Amino acid sequence: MAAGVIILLLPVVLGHGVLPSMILAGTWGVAAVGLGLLAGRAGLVSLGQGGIAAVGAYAAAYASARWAWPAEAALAFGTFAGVATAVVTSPICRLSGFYLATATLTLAVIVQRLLVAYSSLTGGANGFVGIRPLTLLGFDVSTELRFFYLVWGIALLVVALNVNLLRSRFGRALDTIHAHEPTAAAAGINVARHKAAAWVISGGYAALAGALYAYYNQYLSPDQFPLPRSIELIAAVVVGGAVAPLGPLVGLVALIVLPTHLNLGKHLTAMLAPALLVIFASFFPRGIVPHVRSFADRVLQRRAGADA
Amino acid sequence: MFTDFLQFTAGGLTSGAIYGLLALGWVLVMRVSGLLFFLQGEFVVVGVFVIVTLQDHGASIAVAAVGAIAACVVGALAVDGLVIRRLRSATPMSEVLVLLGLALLAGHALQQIAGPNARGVKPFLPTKPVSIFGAFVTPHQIAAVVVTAVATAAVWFGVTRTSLGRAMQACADNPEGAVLVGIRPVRLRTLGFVGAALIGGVAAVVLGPLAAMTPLGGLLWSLKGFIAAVLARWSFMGAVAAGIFLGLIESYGAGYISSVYKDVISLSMLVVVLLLQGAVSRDSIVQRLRTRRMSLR
Amino acid sequence: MSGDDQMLAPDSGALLSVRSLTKRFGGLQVFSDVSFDVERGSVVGLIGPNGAGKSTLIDCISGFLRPDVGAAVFDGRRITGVAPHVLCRAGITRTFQHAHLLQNLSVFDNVVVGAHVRGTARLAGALWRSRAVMAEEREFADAAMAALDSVGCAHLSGSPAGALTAGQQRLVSVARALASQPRLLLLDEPAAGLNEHETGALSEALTRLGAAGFTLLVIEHDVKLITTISHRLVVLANGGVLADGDPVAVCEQQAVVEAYLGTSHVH
Repeated sequence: MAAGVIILLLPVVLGHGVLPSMILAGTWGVAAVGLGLLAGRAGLVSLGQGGIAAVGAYAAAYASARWAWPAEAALAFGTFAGVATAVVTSPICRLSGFYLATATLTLAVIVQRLLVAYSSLTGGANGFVGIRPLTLLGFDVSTELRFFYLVWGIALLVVALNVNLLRSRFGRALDTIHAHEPTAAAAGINVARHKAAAWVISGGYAALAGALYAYYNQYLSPDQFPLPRSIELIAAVVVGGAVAPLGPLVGLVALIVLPTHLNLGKHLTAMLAPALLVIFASFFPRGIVPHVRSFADRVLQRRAGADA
Repeated sequence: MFTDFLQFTAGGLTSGAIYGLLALGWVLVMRVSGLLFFLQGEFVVVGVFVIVTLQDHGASIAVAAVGAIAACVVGALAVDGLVIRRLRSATPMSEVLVLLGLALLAGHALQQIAGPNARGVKPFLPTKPVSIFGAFVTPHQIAAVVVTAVATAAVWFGVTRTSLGRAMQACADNPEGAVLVGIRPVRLRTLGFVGAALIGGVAAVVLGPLAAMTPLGGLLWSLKGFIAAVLARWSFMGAVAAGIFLGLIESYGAGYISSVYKDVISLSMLVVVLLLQGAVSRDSIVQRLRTRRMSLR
Repeated sequence: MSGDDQMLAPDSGALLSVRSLTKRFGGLQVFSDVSFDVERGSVVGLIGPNGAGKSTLIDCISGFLRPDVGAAVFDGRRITGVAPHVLCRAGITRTFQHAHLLQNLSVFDNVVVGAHVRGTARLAGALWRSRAVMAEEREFADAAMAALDSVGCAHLSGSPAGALTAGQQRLVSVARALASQPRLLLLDEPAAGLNEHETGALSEALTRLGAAGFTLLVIEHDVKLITTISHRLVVLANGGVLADGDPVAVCEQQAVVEAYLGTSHVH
């Protein structure tokens, strides 16, 4: 939780220039943490979280712009739409590794095509505008600073909930399923239901992230996601660390904050996620967090050894 | 009415032939190394762009075709030697993520170099449509089907009749046993990549004049090839048949329902087929896919 | 006897009744018309040459495969075709030929998973660590430690699973199965790949379990081990039950010795 405090103090330390990228990192961090649960612990590698996020985003945007719903209701609606999509598609998590990955990738592409096709609803390729600025419970959250605290508050809350969830029966069941499904089944774990639960939970997080993004960006287009987001999210999980709760957040910060500050062009930025995915999957599969942790452990041990 | 049907059929056969070619590449790599070859579509796109560039500089189609195929082969060797061989973690899932990442990188890099616009190859056969049974087909479309048939025959011959091909089959079914007998899985994987690259290059030559390609479009072509491979349960002969089936479905769907949904139809087919197939399969490849540890690390 | 009946009257008072079980894979007949009983509180050994279908038989009884003909009845209820996790809840659990422990977790964490099936607290409570959930966790911990104790591994509970020898990991996997308080425990080749010392420890643990009244059905290749611990021996060979009875008597039967030609561990 020390990390959480550090993050929240960042704008103070680094100045407000870092806000836009950190806001994006926090928003998508919510989805990334969900994917960490799904892919990192349960072992269900999904390349389609961006698709569910898109559903959440467009649903919330539609509710806000066309039906003039208040933000709380629109966000809830967006999350609900995403959860519903996850529930409907939950048979997919019965598929094994490779097939799951490609089926979810296909889902993301299907969502993107549908978004373009139903242009009357979604504004098609031209995008969707008209989302109201965000006011939650009477607070105006439309300034960058406030939005920053909102999304990171949510992200850290999600991490905390995840930690509790993973330390419980449910988390251990997921770990066992990941290790060897028959063993889990023989131990009384309803494998299908647990997988579906992980799928729906992470779908809910993805949808919430999408809905928040809609409010932040005030503009949605079918190309922003689902596919690039899906890749970004899985890259974040791989880069940051699939198993550690904070891993995906760290990975996402690396993926989003870095390019803005290195001033890469539009195309190089788009290439960063796949590139880091390739590099980390090849050479550092455990991700940043475990390496940092073992490094910190070694440093502390050496310190303790010197004192003794 | 009937001529419409014939026309859709002709179109479906053509695109189906290409899907079949792509599926051949997927099946080849899968049977030899157990990997999902997301790069298949990229070879086609890169191939087309190489042809176009060479043609712009005045090369003849023959030279451009050779150049494209050579570029694909070089690319495959590079991927194999520089990346796959260096993978330290080597869970199957991370290998596949690497291939996916590389496919996306290739697409973006290509866009960086060549711009976002779609490019098509200048036709090199006479363009006047010919009437077959009442449907109008261009010589290019016929070429696509013919080339696919030839390629399929070549692959079938290579895999079942040559010792190298049999080695590939053995390797797919039992990598450890294959090593004991003197077959080197790594060598075969390289060959598989090269074979898929060749197929991609050839597909680029026949597809270039038929359809314009955008730099980022490779992934979609790859996915179509994958769908056909899955439909065919990873058999070589079935791959082409499945590709044609997919092409026909798409063509009829686009023609009779709506062209907007063209991709959605074939992509949804994948999901449906996977779910239906997901149950019990004794096929060794599918079995291997299901029992290997698919973790990220 | 039709295999479609939901409730079959217990005709022998046995805990587990296997009746006319037949399994085919494609064109290959693995076994047919296999029938035997497992009495409450007894240890039954299942032996047979490689490929006889012992693991397949266990898979059919534990819900991982569906037999083509026949049924197994557990405590009066038909269990063939029922999913494994449901069977675990009903009191049947099994081990596998590999321990499949989570290597970087402690032995305790691995075993406690087995106890979950007895849990009833609402899952949502886990999000904020409710009182009910925490109380349940303590119960799970107790069950896990008791299970580890009964296989003689309580002293390993804090060690990471990866640090254990193969034999110890195997015993831990048995403990994990025991943590669910099963009424029938199916063991799939527990001694496979173990050295002499580890086999001895396993034999002791299983004998203790047998003496404590657990009902066990054990597949094994190590005939010496299995005759030591079992009250009865069933021999599966040539697609059917070759012999069924007292361990020593069965091993002396000519047919059984012949079935094992080339692999005679007998005595």
